[in-house]
Amino acid sequence: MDAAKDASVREAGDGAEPDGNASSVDGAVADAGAEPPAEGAACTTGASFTRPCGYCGTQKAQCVGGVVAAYSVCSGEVTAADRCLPGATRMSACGACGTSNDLCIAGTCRWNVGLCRNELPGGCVPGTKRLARGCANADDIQPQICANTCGFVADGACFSEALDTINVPTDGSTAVGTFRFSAAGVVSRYPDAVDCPVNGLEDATPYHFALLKNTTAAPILVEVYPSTAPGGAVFDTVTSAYVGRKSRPVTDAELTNCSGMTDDGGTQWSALYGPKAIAIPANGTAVVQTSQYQAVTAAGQPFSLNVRTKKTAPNPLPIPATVGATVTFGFLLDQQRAVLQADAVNDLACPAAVDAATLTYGRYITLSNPTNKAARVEIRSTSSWLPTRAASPTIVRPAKRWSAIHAPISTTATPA
Amino acid sequence: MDGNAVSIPAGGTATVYVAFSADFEPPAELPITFRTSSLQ
Repeated sequence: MDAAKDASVREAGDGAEPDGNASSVDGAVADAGAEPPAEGAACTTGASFTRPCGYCGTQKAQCVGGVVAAYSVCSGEVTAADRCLPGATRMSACGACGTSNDLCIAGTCRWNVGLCRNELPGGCVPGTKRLARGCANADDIQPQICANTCGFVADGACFSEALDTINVPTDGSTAVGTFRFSAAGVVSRYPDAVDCPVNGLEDATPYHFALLKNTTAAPILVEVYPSTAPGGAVFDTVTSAYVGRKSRPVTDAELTNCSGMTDDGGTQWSALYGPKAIAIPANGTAVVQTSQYQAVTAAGQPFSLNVRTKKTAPNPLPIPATVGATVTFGFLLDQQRAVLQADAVNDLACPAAVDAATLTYGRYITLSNPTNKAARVEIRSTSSWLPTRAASPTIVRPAKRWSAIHAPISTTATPA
Repeated sequence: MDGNAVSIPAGGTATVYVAFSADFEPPAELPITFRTSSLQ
Protein backbone atom coordinates (compact mmCIF):
# COMPACT_ATOMS: atom_id res chain seq x y z
CA MET A 1 0.00 0.00 0.00
CA ASP A 2 1.18 3.53 -0.79
CA ALA A 3 0.76 5.26 2.56
CA ALA A 4 1.77 8.61 1.13
CA LYS A 5 -1.31 8.53 -1.07
CA ASP A 6 -3.69 7.24 1.57
CA ALA A 7 -6.05 10.14 1.90
CA SER A 8 -7.69 8.57 4.91
CA VAL A 9 -4.60 8.92 7.06
CA ARG A 10 -2.92 12.08 8.24
CA GLU A 11 0.26 11.40 6.32
CA ALA A 12 -1.54 11.84 3.05
CA GLY A 13 -0.18 14.75 1.08
CA ASP A 14 2.81 15.33 3.32
CA GLY A 15 5.59 16.55 1.12
CA ALA A 16 3.65 15.72 -2.04
CA GLU A 17 2.58 19.30 -2.65
CA PRO A 18 4.55 22.47 -1.83
CA ASP A 19 1.91 23.84 0.50
CA GLY A 20 -0.14 20.74 0.99
CA ASN A 21 -2.56 20.69 3.89
CA ALA A 22 -2.82 17.18 5.23
CA SER A 23 -5.46 18.00 7.82
CA SER A 24 -7.77 19.28 5.12
CA VAL A 25 -7.40 16.07 3.24
CA ASP A 26 -8.38 14.23 6.38
CA GLY A 27 -11.30 16.55 6.86
CA ALA A 28 -12.49 15.98 3.34
CA VAL A 29 -12.80 12.27 4.05
CA ALA A 30 -14.46 12.83 7.41
CA ASP A 31 -17.02 15.12 5.80
CA ALA A 32 -18.01 12.34 3.49
CA GLY A 33 -19.82 10.65 6.36
CA ALA A 34 -19.29 6.90 6.59
CA GLU A 35 -15.53 6.71 6.59
CA PRO A 36 -14.20 3.42 5.23
CA PRO A 37 -12.54 1.32 7.92
CA ALA A 38 -8.79 1.14 8.21
CA GLU A 39 -6.83 -1.93 7.36
CA GLY A 40 -7.13 -4.57 10.06
CA ALA A 41 -10.35 -3.21 11.45
CA ALA A 42 -13.17 -5.62 12.20
CA CYS A 43 -15.69 -6.06 9.40
CA THR A 44 -18.21 -8.43 7.93
CA THR A 45 -16.50 -10.98 5.77
CA GLY A 46 -17.30 -10.40 2.09
CA ALA A 47 -17.83 -6.64 2.42
CA SER A 48 -15.82 -4.29 0.22
CA PHE A 49 -14.65 -0.74 0.85
CA THR A 50 -13.63 2.17 -1.36
CA ARG A 51 -11.89 5.30 -0.15
CA PRO A 52 -10.44 8.39 -1.81
CA CYS A 53 -6.74 8.73 -2.07
CA GLY A 54 -4.01 10.91 -3.55
CA TYR A 55 -4.97 13.19 -6.43
CA CYS A 56 -8.68 12.40 -6.52
CA GLY A 57 -8.04 8.70 -6.95
CA THR A 58 -9.64 5.73 -5.19
CA GLN A 59 -8.46 2.52 -3.61
CA LYS A 60 -10.40 -0.57 -2.56
CA ALA A 61 -10.20 -3.28 0.11
CA GLN A 62 -12.08 -6.46 0.91
CA CYS A 63 -13.12 -7.83 4.29
CA VAL A 64 -11.36 -11.17 4.67
CA GLY A 65 -11.74 -13.32 7.76
CA GLY A 66 -13.54 -10.57 9.62
CA VAL A 67 -10.84 -7.94 9.14
CA VAL A 68 -10.18 -5.31 6.47
CA ALA A 69 -7.44 -6.46 4.14
CA ALA A 70 -4.86 -4.16 2.59
CA TYR A 71 -6.18 -1.40 0.35
CA SER A 72 -5.25 -1.50 -3.28
CA VAL A 73 -2.89 0.86 -5.00
CA CYS A 74 -4.42 4.32 -5.54
CA SER A 75 -5.84 4.50 -9.05
CA GLY A 76 -7.70 6.90 -11.28
CA GLU A 77 -5.77 9.91 -10.08
CA VAL A 78 -5.72 13.27 -11.89
CA THR A 79 -2.53 13.39 -13.90
CA ALA A 80 -2.51 17.03 -15.03
CA ALA A 81 0.75 18.86 -14.38
CA ASP A 82 -0.96 21.41 -12.15
CA ARG A 83 -2.80 18.86 -10.02
CA CYS A 84 -2.94 19.30 -6.28
CA LEU A 85 -4.07 17.47 -3.20
CA PRO A 86 -7.54 18.39 -1.96
CA GLY A 87 -7.45 21.12 0.62
CA ALA A 88 -3.89 22.15 -0.11
CA THR A 89 -3.14 25.87 -0.31
CA ARG A 90 -0.43 27.88 -1.96
CA MET A 91 0.52 31.44 -2.72
CA SER A 92 1.14 32.16 -6.38
CA ALA A 93 2.23 35.09 -8.52
CA CYS A 94 -0.45 36.84 -10.55
CA GLY A 95 -1.20 39.98 -12.51
CA ALA A 96 1.27 42.83 -12.21
CA CYS A 97 3.60 41.32 -9.61
CA GLY A 98 0.70 40.51 -7.31
CA THR A 99 0.00 37.37 -5.30
CA SER A 100 -3.01 35.17 -4.78
CA ASN A 101 -3.89 32.57 -2.17
CA ASP A 102 -5.03 29.48 -4.04
CA LEU A 103 -6.97 26.53 -2.69
CA CYS A 104 -6.99 23.01 -4.09
CA ILE A 105 -10.53 21.95 -4.86
CA ALA A 106 -11.67 18.58 -3.54
CA GLY A 107 -13.20 16.44 -6.22
CA THR A 108 -11.18 17.99 -9.05
CA CYS A 109 -7.71 18.22 -7.49
CA ARG A 110 -7.15 21.46 -9.41
CA TRP A 111 -6.24 24.88 -8.09
CA ASN A 112 -8.86 27.53 -7.55
CA VAL A 113 -6.85 30.72 -8.05
CA GLY A 114 -7.67 33.34 -5.47
CA LEU A 115 -8.14 37.07 -5.89
CA CYS A 116 -5.00 38.78 -7.14
CA ARG A 117 -3.78 41.22 -4.49
CA ASN A 118 -0.95 43.67 -3.97
CA GLU A 119 -0.36 44.29 -7.67
CA LEU A 120 2.20 46.89 -8.65
CA PRO A 121 0.33 50.16 -9.28
CA GLY A 122 0.70 51.03 -12.93
CA GLY A 123 2.51 47.77 -13.52
CA CYS A 124 2.03 45.33 -16.38
CA VAL A 125 1.64 41.59 -16.60
CA PRO A 126 4.99 39.95 -17.41
CA GLY A 127 5.19 38.85 -21.00
CA THR A 128 2.64 41.38 -22.27
CA LYS A 129 3.74 43.09 -25.47
CA ARG A 130 2.88 46.54 -26.74
CA LEU A 131 4.00 49.21 -29.14
CA ALA A 132 4.97 52.57 -27.74
CA ARG A 133 6.55 55.90 -28.55
CA GLY A 134 9.71 57.43 -27.19
CA CYS A 135 11.91 56.97 -30.24
CA ALA A 136 14.22 59.64 -31.60
CA ASN A 137 11.79 60.09 -34.48
CA ALA A 138 8.47 60.95 -32.87
CA ASP A 139 6.48 58.99 -35.46
CA ASP A 140 8.55 55.82 -35.03
CA ILE A 141 7.31 52.89 -33.00
CA GLN A 142 9.09 51.20 -30.11
CA PRO A 143 8.13 47.54 -29.45
CA GLN A 144 8.15 46.75 -25.75
CA ILE A 145 7.61 43.75 -23.50
CA CYS A 146 6.65 43.61 -19.85
CA ALA A 147 9.58 42.31 -17.80
CA ASN A 148 9.37 40.13 -14.70
CA THR A 149 9.63 43.30 -12.66
CA CYS A 150 6.28 44.30 -14.15
CA GLY A 151 7.58 47.28 -16.08
CA PHE A 152 7.87 47.62 -19.86
CA VAL A 153 11.29 47.41 -21.47
CA ALA A 154 12.43 47.65 -25.08
CA ASP A 155 11.79 44.53 -27.13
CA GLY A 156 13.56 45.49 -30.33
CA ALA A 157 14.66 48.53 -32.24
CA CYS A 158 12.48 51.51 -33.12
CA PHE A 159 10.95 51.28 -36.57
CA SER A 160 8.89 53.39 -38.91
CA GLU A 161 5.78 52.02 -40.53
CA ALA A 162 4.63 53.08 -43.99
CA LEU A 163 0.86 53.28 -44.18
CA ASP A 164 -1.26 52.73 -47.27
CA THR A 165 -1.90 56.27 -48.48
CA ILE A 166 -4.78 57.87 -50.34
CA ASN A 167 -4.76 61.48 -51.52
CA VAL A 168 -8.27 62.83 -51.10
CA PRO A 169 -9.59 63.55 -54.62
CA THR A 170 -10.09 67.19 -55.43
CA ASP A 171 -12.31 66.67 -58.49
CA GLY A 172 -15.35 65.30 -56.71
CA SER A 173 -14.50 61.71 -57.55
CA THR A 174 -14.13 58.84 -55.09
CA ALA A 175 -10.70 57.32 -54.62
CA VAL A 176 -10.78 53.59 -53.94
CA GLY A 177 -7.92 51.59 -52.48
CA THR A 178 -8.03 47.84 -52.04
CA PHE A 179 -6.23 46.69 -48.91
CA ARG A 180 -6.10 43.64 -46.68
CA PHE A 181 -6.87 43.22 -43.02
CA SER A 182 -3.86 42.51 -40.83
CA ALA A 183 -4.07 39.94 -38.09
CA ALA A 184 -5.23 41.17 -34.71
CA GLY A 185 -2.20 42.53 -32.89
CA VAL A 186 -1.15 44.13 -29.67
CA VAL A 187 -2.33 47.55 -30.83
CA SER A 188 -5.29 46.74 -33.06
CA ARG A 189 -7.93 47.61 -30.54
CA TYR A 190 -10.49 50.22 -31.53
CA PRO A 191 -12.55 52.90 -29.77
CA ASP A 192 -15.44 51.54 -27.75
CA ALA A 193 -17.88 54.38 -28.44
CA VAL A 194 -18.98 56.59 -31.30
CA ASP A 195 -18.39 59.90 -29.52
CA CYS A 196 -14.71 60.73 -29.76
CA PRO A 197 -12.47 60.96 -27.87
CA VAL A 198 -13.47 57.79 -26.03
CA ASN A 199 -12.65 56.39 -22.63
CA GLY A 200 -11.97 52.79 -23.55
CA LEU A 201 -10.95 50.36 -26.25
CA GLU A 202 -12.43 47.15 -27.53
CA ASP A 203 -10.40 43.96 -27.88
CA ALA A 204 -8.00 43.55 -30.75
CA THR A 205 -9.46 42.41 -34.07
CA PRO A 206 -8.13 42.22 -37.65
CA TYR A 207 -7.47 45.76 -38.79
CA HIS A 208 -6.05 48.19 -41.31
CA PHE A 209 -4.68 51.71 -41.04
CA ALA A 210 -4.67 54.10 -43.99
CA LEU A 211 -3.21 57.58 -44.30
CA LEU A 212 -5.41 60.21 -45.96
CA LYS A 213 -3.81 63.37 -47.30
CA ASN A 214 -5.47 66.68 -48.06
CA THR A 215 -3.28 68.01 -50.84
CA THR A 216 -5.10 71.33 -51.05
CA ALA A 217 -4.44 74.61 -49.29
CA ALA A 218 -7.93 74.65 -47.82
CA PRO A 219 -9.61 72.52 -45.14
CA ILE A 220 -11.94 69.83 -46.47
CA LEU A 221 -14.65 67.55 -45.16
CA VAL A 222 -13.88 63.97 -46.10
CA GLU A 223 -16.15 60.95 -46.25
CA VAL A 224 -14.48 57.57 -45.92
CA TYR A 225 -16.01 54.12 -45.87
CA PRO A 226 -14.97 50.53 -46.51
CA SER A 227 -16.83 48.32 -48.93
CA THR A 228 -16.63 44.89 -50.48
CA ALA A 229 -13.50 44.40 -52.57
CA PRO A 230 -13.80 42.78 -55.98
CA GLY A 231 -14.05 39.09 -55.24
CA GLY A 232 -14.04 39.79 -51.52
CA ALA A 233 -16.53 39.24 -48.74
CA VAL A 234 -18.67 41.52 -46.61
CA PHE A 235 -17.29 42.28 -43.16
CA ASP A 236 -18.85 43.82 -40.11
CA THR A 237 -16.56 46.76 -39.48
CA VAL A 238 -15.92 49.80 -37.33
CA THR A 239 -14.29 52.87 -38.85
CA SER A 240 -12.28 55.31 -36.75
CA ALA A 241 -10.40 58.43 -37.78
CA TYR A 242 -7.46 60.24 -36.23
CA VAL A 243 -7.14 63.70 -37.75
CA GLY A 244 -3.68 65.23 -37.67
CA ARG A 245 -1.83 61.95 -37.40
CA LYS A 246 0.75 60.79 -39.92
CA SER A 247 1.43 57.45 -38.25
CA ARG A 248 -1.01 55.00 -36.78
CA PRO A 249 -1.98 55.38 -33.14
CA VAL A 250 -0.31 52.77 -30.95
CA THR A 251 -0.69 53.79 -27.31
CA ASP A 252 -3.94 53.68 -25.39
CA ALA A 253 -3.86 57.47 -25.19
CA GLU A 254 -3.47 57.74 -28.94
CA LEU A 255 -6.10 55.11 -29.73
CA THR A 256 -8.74 56.67 -27.49
CA ASN A 257 -8.05 60.16 -28.84
CA CYS A 258 -10.03 59.57 -32.02
CA SER A 259 -11.60 62.30 -34.14
CA GLY A 260 -14.51 60.23 -35.37
CA MET A 261 -15.82 56.70 -35.03
CA THR A 262 -18.73 54.85 -36.52
CA ASP A 263 -20.24 51.44 -36.15
CA ASP A 264 -22.99 50.55 -38.57
CA GLY A 265 -24.90 48.97 -35.72
CA GLY A 266 -25.51 45.88 -37.76
CA THR A 267 -23.35 43.36 -39.51
CA GLN A 268 -22.25 45.41 -42.48
CA TRP A 269 -19.68 47.97 -43.47
CA SER A 270 -19.31 51.13 -41.44
CA ALA A 271 -18.98 54.60 -42.90
CA LEU A 272 -17.76 58.01 -41.78
CA TYR A 273 -20.00 60.11 -43.97
CA GLY A 274 -22.63 62.78 -43.84
CA PRO A 275 -22.55 64.34 -40.37
CA LYS A 276 -19.72 61.94 -39.54
CA ALA A 277 -17.43 63.33 -42.26
CA ILE A 278 -14.01 64.19 -40.90
CA ALA A 279 -12.42 67.63 -41.24
CA ILE A 280 -8.85 67.53 -42.50
CA PRO A 281 -6.96 70.83 -42.30
CA ALA A 282 -5.25 72.41 -45.30
CA ASN A 283 -2.37 70.18 -46.39
CA GLY A 284 -3.18 68.04 -43.39
CA THR A 285 -3.53 64.31 -42.82
CA ALA A 286 -5.72 61.81 -41.04
CA VAL A 287 -5.22 58.17 -40.24
CA VAL A 288 -8.25 55.95 -40.71
CA GLN A 289 -8.59 52.66 -38.89
CA THR A 290 -10.83 49.99 -40.37
CA SER A 291 -11.39 47.23 -37.83
CA GLN A 292 -13.44 44.10 -37.97
CA TYR A 293 -16.12 44.36 -35.32
CA GLN A 294 -15.31 40.92 -34.00
CA ALA A 295 -12.29 38.76 -34.61
CA VAL A 296 -14.35 36.02 -36.17
CA THR A 297 -13.10 36.52 -39.70
CA ALA A 298 -9.70 35.69 -41.01
CA ALA A 299 -6.96 38.25 -41.44
CA GLY A 300 -5.57 38.74 -44.92
CA GLN A 301 -8.99 39.24 -46.47
CA PRO A 302 -9.34 42.18 -48.90
CA PHE A 303 -11.63 45.16 -48.67
CA SER A 304 -11.95 48.46 -50.50
CA LEU A 305 -11.55 51.82 -48.83
CA ASN A 306 -13.46 54.69 -50.44
CA VAL A 307 -12.47 58.30 -49.92
CA ARG A 308 -14.17 61.42 -51.26
CA THR A 309 -14.66 65.05 -50.44
CA LYS A 310 -18.05 65.70 -48.96
CA LYS A 311 -20.29 67.75 -51.13
CA THR A 312 -22.07 70.54 -49.31
CA ALA A 313 -25.12 72.10 -50.84
CA PRO A 314 -24.98 75.85 -51.52
CA ASN A 315 -27.78 78.01 -50.17
CA PRO A 316 -29.84 78.66 -52.14
CA LEU A 317 -29.31 75.59 -54.22
CA PRO A 318 -29.49 76.28 -57.97
CA ILE A 319 -31.63 73.77 -59.79
CA PRO A 320 -30.19 72.19 -62.94
CA ALA A 321 -30.60 74.50 -65.93
CA THR A 322 -31.26 71.54 -68.24
CA VAL A 323 -34.45 69.53 -68.33
CA GLY A 324 -33.78 66.01 -67.08
CA ALA A 325 -30.57 66.93 -65.28
CA THR A 326 -30.21 66.23 -61.56
CA VAL A 327 -28.22 67.45 -58.62
CA THR A 328 -27.80 65.54 -55.35
CA PHE A 329 -26.59 66.60 -51.93
CA GLY A 330 -26.77 65.20 -48.42
CA PHE A 331 -28.93 67.14 -45.98
CA LEU A 332 -29.13 66.86 -42.24
CA LEU A 333 -32.78 66.52 -41.37
CA ASP A 334 -32.68 67.86 -37.84
CA GLN A 335 -35.39 70.51 -37.79
CA GLN A 336 -38.64 69.61 -36.12
CA ARG A 337 -42.00 70.68 -37.51
CA ALA A 338 -45.57 69.54 -37.14
CA VAL A 339 -46.63 67.03 -39.74
CA LEU A 340 -49.62 67.37 -41.97
CA GLN A 341 -52.44 64.96 -41.54
CA ALA A 342 -51.53 62.05 -43.72
CA ASP A 343 -53.68 60.21 -46.15
CA ALA A 344 -52.46 56.66 -45.96
CA VAL A 345 -53.43 55.94 -49.54
CA ASN A 346 -53.13 59.07 -51.60
CA ASP A 347 -50.71 61.92 -51.84
CA LEU A 348 -52.10 64.97 -50.24
CA ALA A 349 -53.53 67.81 -52.11
CA CYS A 350 -52.52 71.27 -51.01
CA PRO A 351 -53.39 72.92 -48.80
CA ALA A 352 -53.52 70.19 -46.13
CA ALA A 353 -54.43 70.20 -42.46
CA VAL A 354 -51.71 70.31 -39.82
CA ASP A 355 -51.37 67.70 -37.13
CA ALA A 356 -49.86 70.00 -34.53
CA ALA A 357 -49.54 67.22 -31.99
CA THR A 358 -47.08 65.26 -34.07
CA LEU A 359 -43.59 66.46 -34.85
CA THR A 360 -41.15 65.10 -37.33
CA TYR A 361 -37.60 65.73 -38.46
CA GLY A 362 -36.93 67.50 -41.70
CA ARG A 363 -35.23 70.50 -43.25
CA TYR A 364 -36.16 73.55 -45.26
CA ILE A 365 -34.19 73.80 -48.47
CA THR A 366 -34.27 76.88 -50.64
CA LEU A 367 -33.98 76.31 -54.37
CA SER A 368 -33.18 78.96 -56.91
CA ASN A 369 -34.07 78.98 -60.58
CA PRO A 370 -31.12 80.47 -62.48
CA THR A 371 -32.93 80.29 -65.82
CA ASN A 372 -35.20 82.82 -67.48
CA LYS A 373 -38.00 80.29 -67.69
CA ALA A 374 -40.44 78.99 -65.14
CA ALA A 375 -39.24 75.64 -63.87
CA ARG A 376 -40.75 72.60 -62.33
CA VAL A 377 -38.56 70.49 -60.07
CA GLU A 378 -39.03 66.97 -58.83
CA ILE A 379 -37.53 65.99 -55.51
CA ARG A 380 -36.71 62.52 -54.38
CA SER A 381 -34.43 60.64 -52.05
CA THR A 382 -32.73 57.34 -52.37
CA SER A 383 -33.46 55.10 -49.45
CA SER A 384 -29.85 54.18 -49.19
CA TRP A 385 -26.84 56.28 -49.99
CA LEU A 386 -24.20 53.91 -48.76
CA PRO A 387 -24.48 50.17 -48.29
CA THR A 388 -24.84 50.47 -44.56
CA ARG A 389 -27.28 53.29 -44.38
CA ALA A 390 -30.96 52.65 -44.27
CA ALA A 391 -33.04 55.73 -43.77
CA SER A 392 -36.76 55.52 -44.27
CA PRO A 393 -38.17 58.77 -45.51
CA THR A 394 -41.86 58.65 -46.23
CA ILE A 395 -44.75 60.96 -46.49
CA VAL A 396 -44.69 63.99 -44.29
CA ARG A 397 -46.47 67.29 -44.61
CA PRO A 398 -45.69 70.27 -42.44
CA ALA A 399 -46.61 73.94 -42.21
CA LYS A 400 -49.11 76.13 -44.00
CA ARG A 401 -49.39 77.01 -47.61
CA TRP A 402 -48.14 74.23 -49.78
CA SER A 403 -47.71 74.23 -53.47
CA ALA A 404 -46.61 70.64 -53.87
CA ILE A 405 -46.30 67.41 -51.96
CA HIS A 406 -45.23 64.02 -53.11
CA ALA A 407 -43.88 60.71 -51.87
CA PRO A 408 -41.69 59.01 -50.87
CA ILE A 409 -40.31 62.23 -49.48
CA SER A 410 -42.84 64.88 -48.99
CA THR A 411 -41.95 68.30 -50.23
CA THR A 412 -43.75 71.49 -49.68
CA ALA A 413 -43.00 74.75 -51.34
CA THR A 414 -43.73 78.15 -49.93
CA PRO A 415 -44.35 81.12 -52.19
CA ALA A 416 -41.25 83.18 -52.75
CA MET B 1 -44.47 62.34 -61.06
CA ASP B 2 -44.29 65.83 -62.49
CA GLY B 3 -47.69 66.51 -61.08
CA ASN B 4 -46.05 66.73 -57.69
CA ALA B 5 -43.17 68.89 -58.84
CA VAL B 6 -42.39 72.23 -57.32
CA SER B 7 -42.86 75.29 -59.51
CA ILE B 8 -40.20 77.98 -59.40
CA PRO B 9 -40.60 81.20 -61.36
CA ALA B 10 -37.85 82.36 -63.69
CA GLY B 11 -35.03 83.80 -61.63
CA GLY B 12 -36.98 83.10 -58.44
CA THR B 13 -36.72 80.82 -55.48
CA ALA B 14 -38.85 78.31 -53.64
CA THR B 15 -38.40 76.85 -50.22
CA VAL B 16 -39.26 73.22 -49.79
CA TYR B 17 -39.53 71.22 -46.64
CA VAL B 18 -38.25 67.67 -46.76
CA ALA B 19 -38.92 65.41 -43.83
CA PHE B 20 -39.02 61.93 -42.46
CA SER B 21 -42.18 60.28 -41.37
CA ALA B 22 -43.12 60.99 -37.79
CA ASP B 23 -42.00 57.61 -36.50
CA PHE B 24 -38.45 58.06 -37.77
CA GLU B 25 -36.86 59.99 -34.95
CA PRO B 26 -33.09 60.02 -35.24
CA PRO B 27 -31.88 63.00 -37.21
CA ALA B 28 -29.77 61.72 -40.07
CA GLU B 29 -28.31 63.13 -43.17
CA LEU B 30 -30.09 62.03 -46.26
CA PRO B 31 -29.16 62.34 -49.92
CA ILE B 32 -31.77 64.31 -51.78
CA THR B 33 -31.92 64.63 -55.55
CA PHE B 34 -33.44 67.55 -57.41
CA ARG B 35 -34.41 67.04 -61.05
CA THR B 36 -35.55 69.77 -63.38
CA SER B 37 -38.56 68.28 -65.14
CA SER B 38 -39.54 71.22 -67.30
CA LEU B 39 -38.58 74.75 -68.30
CA GLN B 40 -41.23 76.91 -69.92
